[in-house]
Amino acid sequence: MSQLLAKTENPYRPVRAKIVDLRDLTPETRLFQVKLVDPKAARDFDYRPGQFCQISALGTGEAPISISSSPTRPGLLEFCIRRVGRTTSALHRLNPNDEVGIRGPYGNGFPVDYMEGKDVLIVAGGVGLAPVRSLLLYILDNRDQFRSVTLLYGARSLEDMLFREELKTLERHPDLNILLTLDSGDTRLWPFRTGLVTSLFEEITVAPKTVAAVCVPPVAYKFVTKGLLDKGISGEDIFMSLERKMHCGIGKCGCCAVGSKYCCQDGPVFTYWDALNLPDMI
Amino acid sequence: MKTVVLPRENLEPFLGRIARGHDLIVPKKTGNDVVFDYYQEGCQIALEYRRTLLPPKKFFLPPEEVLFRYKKGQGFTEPEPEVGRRVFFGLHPCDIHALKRLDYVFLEGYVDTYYRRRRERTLIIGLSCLPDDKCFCHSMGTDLVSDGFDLFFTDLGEVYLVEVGSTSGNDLVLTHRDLVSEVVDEAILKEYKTFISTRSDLFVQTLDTSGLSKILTLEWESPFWEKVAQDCLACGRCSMSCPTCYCFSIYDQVNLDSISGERSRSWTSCLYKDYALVAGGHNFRPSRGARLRQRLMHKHKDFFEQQGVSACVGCGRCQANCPAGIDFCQVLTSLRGDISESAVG
Repeated sequence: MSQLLAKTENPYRPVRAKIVDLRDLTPETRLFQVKLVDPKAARDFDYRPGQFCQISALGTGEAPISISSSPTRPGLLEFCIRRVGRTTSALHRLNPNDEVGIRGPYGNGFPVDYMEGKDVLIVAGGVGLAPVRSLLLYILDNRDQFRSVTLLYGARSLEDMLFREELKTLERHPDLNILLTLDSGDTRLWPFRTGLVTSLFEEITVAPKTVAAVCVPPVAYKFVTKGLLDKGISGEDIFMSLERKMHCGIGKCGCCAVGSKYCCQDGPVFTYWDALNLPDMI
Repeated sequence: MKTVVLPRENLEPFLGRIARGHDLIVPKKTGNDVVFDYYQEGCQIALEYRRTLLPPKKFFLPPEEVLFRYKKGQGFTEPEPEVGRRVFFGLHPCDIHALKRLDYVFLEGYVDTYYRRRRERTLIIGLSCLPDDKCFCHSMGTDLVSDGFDLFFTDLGEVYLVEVGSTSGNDLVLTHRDLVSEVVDEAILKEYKTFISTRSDLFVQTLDTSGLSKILTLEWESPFWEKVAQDCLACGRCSMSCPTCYCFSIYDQVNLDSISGERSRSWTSCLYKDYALVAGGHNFRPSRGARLRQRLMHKHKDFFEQQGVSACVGCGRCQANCPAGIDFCQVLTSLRGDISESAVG
């Protein structure tokens, strides 16, 4: 895996990146398409679905953001950034051609090699689609390497659903099984389901060799993992992308510690088995 | 290990000469406290201090430091690194062990440029000590030290027995060979043995660490944590004064021109309420009990699981500095069931 920086260089130094395009996905979430300023760095930047970068808004700070694009589509990097704090608000004030700083990619990401040859079940809630979209696109671009692929995605309301148009297109894809649901709200024009994402479990059958990739709000993990275990998926095959406060992203600042693990380095993807061993992980 | 002898009266000339070619850091008396500070000619070095207010980490991971200066369109530039050799005199064994723990964190995996530079330009001269009622290094296996120093001085009254721990340490000894003697005679050896046994008899505070990480794991859900935390002010003084607490946060400060500024880091503490608070308002450790537990878990269990040694070196600073008088040894002993819970706090 190529890093932006060799290990002998200052690992805290961000490199310059330019915003190529911005697109609103929901009222709070914007898709940032960025390109590294240095052409060689842009060419060499490689990553795994589920990894993240530290993105700098100059003068405000850094925020850890999952990569939403897929390494199979090099050139531009995509990040879904929800406006929830100081740094993300500052990022939302930027325009195309403005610069951000980038460090990364960090973390372990989803074990795509291990997932090959297996049935893949992806479960996402709300903005949790951001990291698993990278996985979904990666799988689509290597479709023959995987068995069945199912995405269960739930959002609070239609306007909170990320990549609505993209999902509507993908929903008709013959090699993907996509089930979308909305918690509530006006669903009259909504052709899909309503209810929590866990309610979709009733509609699917799970093949014996299924691996799950999950990214949902912190409070939902307990319910989602229970549903997956009930479906017969082994705890070792449930991969969850977790959120924690992070400052450094490189296992130094201590802020993202979960037991003896650091979310930034040992995660952000953990198995359900890890969660059983490390209290308060989910 | 090479061992030499420095007569007591030669210590001051020895340090004075070192100070001419290096930035010398020494323990100094300030009011009722002893602090590590840069040596100035004629300053009084505290040779028999118990513990400094802040540990040595402040010279390697400063409470606050600028990581980069930035300017819009120009990216991030590191500040000019500090240069010149430093000699850090007077670290007790616990503090040397603590630096070795920090090395795990900052020099393994991604190498922390700032910490590495400071570490590389600093020689360490250890100094023996006698415990007070808060020291429990003998319980943590950190009361003696066999590496991690360039020189180590053991105070035997008339003389210091000097262990040479590195070629840089050896160079210091050779440069000032007129001040030291290479003869370690029977009498000095006897003095040393007496010192070791006398010192080990002086410990009052103890902590039974056998199976501690496992007991902590099993007591995760205990209501005990919230009970102890009723006294905790969540002020973070234990973290600031801990020689192995290394957590920091990173933040930007913008200049008045609004296009340039600084990115800095500063110490933080897992006791602070916003430590595990993520954007959007979810707090992974909302209660003081959960945060106090985090601190003790990290010291005695998580770090132990990562590195095979506890992060606690038994220096006693957390207890000495806690404004609520929380005795962490007693907290852990009580959790073991060795004393009653009501005796805590």
